[in-house]
Amino acid sequence: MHERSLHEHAEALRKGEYTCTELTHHFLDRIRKHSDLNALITLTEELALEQAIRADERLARNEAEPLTGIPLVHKDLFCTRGVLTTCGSRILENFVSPYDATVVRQLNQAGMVTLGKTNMDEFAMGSSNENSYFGPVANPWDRKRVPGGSSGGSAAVVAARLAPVATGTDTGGSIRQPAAFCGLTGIKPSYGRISRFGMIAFASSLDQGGVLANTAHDAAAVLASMSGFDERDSTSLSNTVPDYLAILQKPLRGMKAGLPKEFFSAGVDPDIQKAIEEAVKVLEHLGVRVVEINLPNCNASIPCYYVLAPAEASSNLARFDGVRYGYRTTNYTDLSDMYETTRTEGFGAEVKRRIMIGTYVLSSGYFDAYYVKAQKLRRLIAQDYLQAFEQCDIIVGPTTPTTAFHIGEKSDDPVKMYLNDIFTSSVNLAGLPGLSVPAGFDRNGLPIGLQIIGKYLDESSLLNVGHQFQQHTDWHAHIPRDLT
Amino acid sequence: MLSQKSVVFSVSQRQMMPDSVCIRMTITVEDIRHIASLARLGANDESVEQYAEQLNRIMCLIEQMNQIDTSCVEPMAHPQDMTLRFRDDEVVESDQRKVHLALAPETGSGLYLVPQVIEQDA
Repeated sequence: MHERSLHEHAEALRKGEYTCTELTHHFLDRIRKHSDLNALITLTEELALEQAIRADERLARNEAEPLTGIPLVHKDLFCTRGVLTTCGSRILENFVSPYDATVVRQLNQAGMVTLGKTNMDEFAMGSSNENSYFGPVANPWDRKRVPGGSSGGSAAVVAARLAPVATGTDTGGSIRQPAAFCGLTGIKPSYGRISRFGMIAFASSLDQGGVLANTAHDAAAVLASMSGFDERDSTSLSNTVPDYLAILQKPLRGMKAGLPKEFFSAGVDPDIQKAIEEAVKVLEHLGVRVVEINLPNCNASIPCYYVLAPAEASSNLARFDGVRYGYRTTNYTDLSDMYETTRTEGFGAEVKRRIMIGTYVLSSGYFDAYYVKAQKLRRLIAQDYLQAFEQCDIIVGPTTPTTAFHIGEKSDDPVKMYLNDIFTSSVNLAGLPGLSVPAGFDRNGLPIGLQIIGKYLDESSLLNVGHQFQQHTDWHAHIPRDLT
Repeated sequence: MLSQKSVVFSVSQRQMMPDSVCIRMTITVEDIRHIASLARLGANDESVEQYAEQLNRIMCLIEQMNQIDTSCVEPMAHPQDMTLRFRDDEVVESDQRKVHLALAPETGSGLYLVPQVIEQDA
């Protein structure tokens, strides 16, 4: 039952092959059976069964929407009313949100069933899920390896077929990199496409919610329900959301794909390089014309990102003070000691490191040299993309330079860890949409991701290309061996 | 601009941070203590040393920004070239004082409680 796609479930529910309550029990049992993955922080069984009953009622009344009755999991960064929302942090270990994030509200209204909240790198800072207060997550393809991050729990859940789909968020690659590491389809839409209301903020000018699914078709269906204007997010866009599902079938003939020279440099694993070259051949076979392009300033995206993201984080995370919600230390002498001890005990090492970097680059005497300099580079990077898109409709390349690495392999070396975002972070800096689709396996049987980058607000082309690619390849249909 | 021979894009850490590129002021333990106090984070002697080592390495990575000339470039704060949207000044939220106070570690008389900050008269 769990091997079916979201669309097959929707079809089966409508035909009455099984009820949503049965489907929900099936996935809840699977989650419990595979609890060793440590993919979830909270299981919301009671809520799920309640939502399942309501979905069954809607289905019986023929009032179901396409997503009604489909189970999902939310990254524990989305606020869920009455449900623990930790953001992977000790400082929110007891935080039960009083409201729903807009994304959660939209998917509830569509009739989806929330199975639980997924594990993640603390405050979405990380590329391996090892920075969670609730422990690392195992990659279903090889349990000694990381699932990627920061949406590592969401990726592990969907890869292990513990739910058909999951929400995630992406600030520098946090949907696309775990999607690549776990053999999934993951989309980060354009900045402003999806409401950030109720998403716990990390870097507000870069954060964007999105979807992790098994196919571009499934991702398109959920993305359609998450997108659109929200007056509660001042950066939310009022542009019309296209019919993503209708566009999937469009032939690719005549489309132009840019290959950035810089994304095919030394340093990319040879197996990945080969898989991406093969994927490009598939696209060419489908009528896509390939042109070489340049993104000369994207070389600087990692340094630029690691100024701007920590700077915004140091400001956003100032709200955690032990006064209004969350963890408060029991061990203090006065107010300022209470703040300091609460934050020192409440945040993990990587979060503190980024707060320190952010505070430093914003501090007096360094602001121009680092923060303003990085903002200028951000414009150059965004302009590189604008110029490249004069020659092509989409940009393709690898999602990551390596496949999933071992748990513990890079956790002692922050700089090494940061380089995971080398192909993804420039997309966030420019605010563009990005998609990762499975494109093969390396010598160790680990999934490889193909990244497709689009013009601003052109999620349609990405999903279209992703879907057509998946009609002619079967990389997305593989399931980890012991989880079938 | 980056030269053709530049190796900064390579994934290997050694190549990412050629020693010759990283010419910068070192962050000292005193700097770390100052930053930590601005950020309201505790820093004991051991963690100060560790922060200094790690931040210096991260700043070496960040210094690579200086390889690119940005002298005539306007800073970009945001992916959207738009001004902030305003809403009408109308009350839309209901009073949720009790709901929000219930989340706090310590409250009293409908207020958040913190350790005493103003000394009482003798």
